[in-house]
Amino acid sequence: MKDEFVIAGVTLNSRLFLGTAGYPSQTILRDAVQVSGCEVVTVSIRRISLEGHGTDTVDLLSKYRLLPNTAGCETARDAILTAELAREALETNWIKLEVIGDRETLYPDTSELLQATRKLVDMGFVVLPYCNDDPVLCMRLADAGAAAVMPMGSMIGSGLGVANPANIEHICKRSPVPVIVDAGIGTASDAVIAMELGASAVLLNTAVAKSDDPVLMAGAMKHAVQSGRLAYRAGRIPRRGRAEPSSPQMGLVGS
Amino acid sequence: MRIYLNGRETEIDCLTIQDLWSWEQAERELESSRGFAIARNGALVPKREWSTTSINTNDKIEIVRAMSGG
Repeated sequence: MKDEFVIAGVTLNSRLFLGTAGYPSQTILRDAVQVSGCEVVTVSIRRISLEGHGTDTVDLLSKYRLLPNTAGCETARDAILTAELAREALETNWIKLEVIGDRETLYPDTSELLQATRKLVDMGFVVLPYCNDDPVLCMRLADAGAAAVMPMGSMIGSGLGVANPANIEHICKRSPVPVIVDAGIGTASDAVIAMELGASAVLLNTAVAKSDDPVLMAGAMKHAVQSGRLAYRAGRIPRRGRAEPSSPQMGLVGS
Repeated sequence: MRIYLNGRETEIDCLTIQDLWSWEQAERELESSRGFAIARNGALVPKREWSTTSINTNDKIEIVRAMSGG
């Protein structure tokens, strides 16, 4: 059976989105992205350094779909300008919308996020907002025209996994748009859990970039996302508070 | 003329955004402007308008590029 994953009319063959920050080297980044099998990689938009020339991630990853983010923006206004700059720089109208309300937790500023989503949708963007694991907020974002919602597993870079699986499951059940669990993934099992809860995809960065062997972890994440998706589609058995023998009870030797 | 380039007070000898970009492009040995974008006084300047957008004293110009990110 076909199990298509479509965002804004675009069919994606991988349910893993990979961030490109914090890898030990550009070579390791390139190899990790390749091994992960992902199609979509995130990039940020930053002022050019007036001293150094910087490295060219865009050139390195030119065969992938680049998803620019508005990371670090704290107001709808800054996020909107960053999205416009990203669209001009990369000729894509897809934007991972981040509007941060608190530098300690990097939690989104939900009112600015909603406002920026509405405005960017009006401006023709395909908006993928990073948001709280809040079913109401996710519904409002979808109503505002978000092409997908991206609730956090847990805090960005924390590696705490899916902190509130019940919420993620709720969001996945009711969302009219794809749900991409973004942030907090620490290792492969976290990605499996997110997918088993019904997420359409997982976006992660630090779990791969800061692992001891990013290329190996990228492979683990590829399989984790596939495995979690298959398990979700297959349907888990109910949890029971007692044992249930799996072997037949009839014909036991000596009975 | 004095402008604020990426937040820093800078003396430049460019009349248009295109002039400024051409200087940066040569300095950085870039083949194209892919991955780059420019804002002037808080508003995007589309690439097609670079050559017709003049720079005035005290303008705040931001040159940005796409780079690694999560």
